Amino acid sequence: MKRRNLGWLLSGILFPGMAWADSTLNMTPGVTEISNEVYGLHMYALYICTGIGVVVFGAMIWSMIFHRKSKGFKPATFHESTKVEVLWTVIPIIILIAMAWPATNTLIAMENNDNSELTIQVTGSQWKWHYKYFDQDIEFYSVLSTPREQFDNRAGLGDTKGENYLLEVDKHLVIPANKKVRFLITSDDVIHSWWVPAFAVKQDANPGFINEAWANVPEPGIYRGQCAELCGKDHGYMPVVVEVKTEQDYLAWVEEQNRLKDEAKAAEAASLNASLSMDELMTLGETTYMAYCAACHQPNGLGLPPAFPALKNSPIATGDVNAHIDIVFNGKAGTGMQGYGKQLSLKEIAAVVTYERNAWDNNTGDTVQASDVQAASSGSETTTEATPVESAATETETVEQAAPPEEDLSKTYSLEELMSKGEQVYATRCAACHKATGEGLSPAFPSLIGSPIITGDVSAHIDIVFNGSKKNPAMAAFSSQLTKTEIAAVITYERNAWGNDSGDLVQPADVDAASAK
Amino acid sequence: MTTDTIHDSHGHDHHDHKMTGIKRWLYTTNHKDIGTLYLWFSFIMLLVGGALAMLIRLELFQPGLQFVEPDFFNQLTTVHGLIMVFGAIMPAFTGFANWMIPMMVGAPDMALPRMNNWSFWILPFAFAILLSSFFMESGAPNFGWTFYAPLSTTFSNGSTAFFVFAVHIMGVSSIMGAINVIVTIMNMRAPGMTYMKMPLFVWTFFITAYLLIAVMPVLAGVVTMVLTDTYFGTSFFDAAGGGDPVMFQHIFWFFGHPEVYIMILPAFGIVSTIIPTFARKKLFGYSSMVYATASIAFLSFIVWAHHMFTTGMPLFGELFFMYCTMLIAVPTGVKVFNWVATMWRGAMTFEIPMLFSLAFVILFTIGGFSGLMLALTPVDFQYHDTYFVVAHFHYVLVTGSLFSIYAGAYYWLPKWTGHMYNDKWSKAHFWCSLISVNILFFPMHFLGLAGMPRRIPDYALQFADFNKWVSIGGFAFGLSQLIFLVVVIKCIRGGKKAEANPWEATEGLEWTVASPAPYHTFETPPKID
Repeated sequence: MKRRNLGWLLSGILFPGMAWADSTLNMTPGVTEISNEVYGLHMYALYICTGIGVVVFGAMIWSMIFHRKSKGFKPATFHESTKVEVLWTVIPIIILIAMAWPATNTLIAMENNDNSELTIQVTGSQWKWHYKYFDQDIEFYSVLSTPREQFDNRAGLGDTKGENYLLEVDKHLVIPANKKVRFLITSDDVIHSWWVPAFAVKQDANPGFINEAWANVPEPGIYRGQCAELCGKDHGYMPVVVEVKTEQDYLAWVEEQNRLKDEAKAAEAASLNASLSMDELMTLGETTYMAYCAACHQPNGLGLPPAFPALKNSPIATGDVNAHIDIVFNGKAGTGMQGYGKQLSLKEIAAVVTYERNAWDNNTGDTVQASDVQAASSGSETTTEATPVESAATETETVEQAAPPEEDLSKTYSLEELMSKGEQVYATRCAACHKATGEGLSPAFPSLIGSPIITGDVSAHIDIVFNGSKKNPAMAAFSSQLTKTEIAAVITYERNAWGNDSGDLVQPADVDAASAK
Repeated sequence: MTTDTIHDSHGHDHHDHKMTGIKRWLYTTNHKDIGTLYLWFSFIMLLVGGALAMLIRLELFQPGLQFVEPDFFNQLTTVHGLIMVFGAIMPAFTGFANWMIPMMVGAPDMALPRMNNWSFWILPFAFAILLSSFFMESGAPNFGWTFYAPLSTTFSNGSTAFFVFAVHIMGVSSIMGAINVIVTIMNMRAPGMTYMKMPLFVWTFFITAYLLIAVMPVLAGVVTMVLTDTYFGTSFFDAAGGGDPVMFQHIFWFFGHPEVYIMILPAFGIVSTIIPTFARKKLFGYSSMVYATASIAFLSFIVWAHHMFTTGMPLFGELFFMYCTMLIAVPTGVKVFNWVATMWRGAMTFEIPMLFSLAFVILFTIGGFSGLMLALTPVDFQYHDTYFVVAHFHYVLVTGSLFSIYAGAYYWLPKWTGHMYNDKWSKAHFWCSLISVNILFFPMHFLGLAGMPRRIPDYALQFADFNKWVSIGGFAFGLSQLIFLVVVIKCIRGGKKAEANPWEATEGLEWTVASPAPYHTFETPPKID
């Protein structure tokens, strides 16, 4: 368009020294077939609009130049014509149809989520992304890695910013090339929007609901995007970075992740017995604090009251240690304070709590060890009933730590025994989502009353409780959290409560047999 | 339209029961006084909202955080949007309606003068409540002017109640204003003024008033749901309690999209009045203009979800809203074509009202083009929530609505004040505004296409150059508006005397009364042939 050239011209005259190398004027075609189609549509619409603009503005400018009073032009008197009005109603409609047709085809292709080869759950939370691979046991948070000094401008202006300033994260989302990857997008708190321009994928992350999107990327490479929906204070600081690897490299990466996970588990276990010095804790604590806490509570511990309270001299950071550990581990419902039990290791939590209790003249002298965190957090599960989600996470860990008692799988129970045990298990494990009445919370948490799974094949029912749902990521796998006896009881309960009355009895041995498949 | 009596105003002076000083303005039921109050109020709000915008542009002048914290940045963008929409553009049009509609239809005043007073005087309180939240400990609302739940409910700061009540009062004011316009137009037209003889500005505001009555209660409903979700434990928009955050967006945009047309239909009316005057040629296709306005108003109710293409709508929904949205281009196109046809083979002169109207036609159409592009769902996935959208709605609201307000103000200033505006200053205002507004908003298209999301306080380095430009344009545009203040004050204080009809080829009853318009006009209705 003309104006663009004018812009270039003006800029050349006024600011000859400005660097324009990085700036782009237009949308980029992206790297997928879909994103190329979208780019094509964009250019097509742009050309049509430019064409209309040339005609309309041309006529206008023509009459501004030639039909002016100062040139002695005498005004015509015509002021209506049905023929012309019909003409300029019909022609735009034809143009619109010519635009809508290809747009419809592209849209239908974009919304076809079938036949994906890999599914990844993408969860937005203030202000980071969490990725969970469905087929592998891999999940991690992806957090902005641009150092705070760069955007706070404490290191001086301009020159110190890195190449990918604000578009870099600690852990990339890694996907294989030439595979249709499906993303299931949801949120932990407010609405976010997961956007990778190079894939033409932008999908809102709605809390309590799951959206779908997909990409099939032919080219390995690193692709960057950002959160696109205002999600609070640090909306500008939650980039998306996707690294596309060749099939081989991807498999190697998966292997590496599994190895790292085992190491982390070992380190976690070791940290329970280790006792770190104050200095060690403070050093690790400061790093962790800067990465996870400083955005809200500020590097100087003064916070941004009232939403983000000061930690300096605060009752929590200088009071009871266990309450302090509890709030860091489990978060505080109804506020911006998340639970970090899932995001940080026990050692890191110990260090950050120690740091908070001793930095900024808090000087309590307390040192907190990983084992203290372990003790305090497992203690909290019995007292805090208000936060079922967090405490469930805590219990998972406890189960892994303490070996479960031997189960007698051959034992058979009566319907009454199974029902009363099942009701207990259901109330603590299932009712938060599926509700005590079995009605669920549609659509994320389906009703169990008369549902096809509950009234259908028993082994499919066992499978979904034991292994979780492939379709709905909200349905977790309970294999590691419940004993086979408990699973048998809860399934029996679900199949006979709320008028389901199937009369089915599921024994531990059935669960064992079905899960062995 | 002609009148058979030229009104003589001098006989009416003894009717002025004007009080003096502040009481005149507090107790006034005169449509001209109330129109003046609305116009001054909206201009003050324009400067307040503009000041907030300048702070935003200051922070975005270069990468990194220099002046404001991210949370305060969000408060700035939120309150800037609310002030400009509800405080600047809407009251300005209501001001025009108050001043001009009774004079245009040959009525002595608005139908419900006391309600008229009330609907204005609650507005300053609404905005005082909203702005006072800046001085609260928690700060002003920080969730965007669209206040999407749950950011505005569970995760909001302590000032949400202030925001909700302020919006309630603004809504009440708008509804009362709309009722007044409708009753006036339906009952108080001069004998012989049939609907299809009404000036186009009256028509557009008539339709706008219906839109207001239809959607302001929806806004009131949705802010009330936000209030109860935040403070009374309901779960309208909270999935954990069986609600749905996307439902918020459906309700909000069911209000929000007609709202867009509330802010542009009166602009169409003003421009359709001015272009024929300075082209010295009757408006082309008067009746098709009326029908096009009505079609746009109807379509505005069935396109709301085009703001929500990325929320995970089903394919059928996306297609439906894409097609309906594209359809709006048809009546809007008819309007633009009619304006161009009005100019075609006219005898044009380029007084300031005409200059603003011509700029309106071109720049609003550019905003229309980007709107058409945004309607295409697959491409919208790339444009949505980027600076491309910011460019789009500022082209239609600033170079659209605001420019038409300036055009109308310059056009009727002689009638309001009895003086011609100062030529030099007003030309400076126009040219400074025209150039700076394009430096301000045009590069935003490039930023959006290159991938810069909206509502971020800091950005990646490839966006730095254009942001610098945008900020420079922003400061220049903001300062240019002070020239308008100078023009208006000079015009009130003196200047060349304006005749009853200062322009050559005007149409309409307002030009049959003296300039400045006497305090009471058309106490005996004029007769229209």
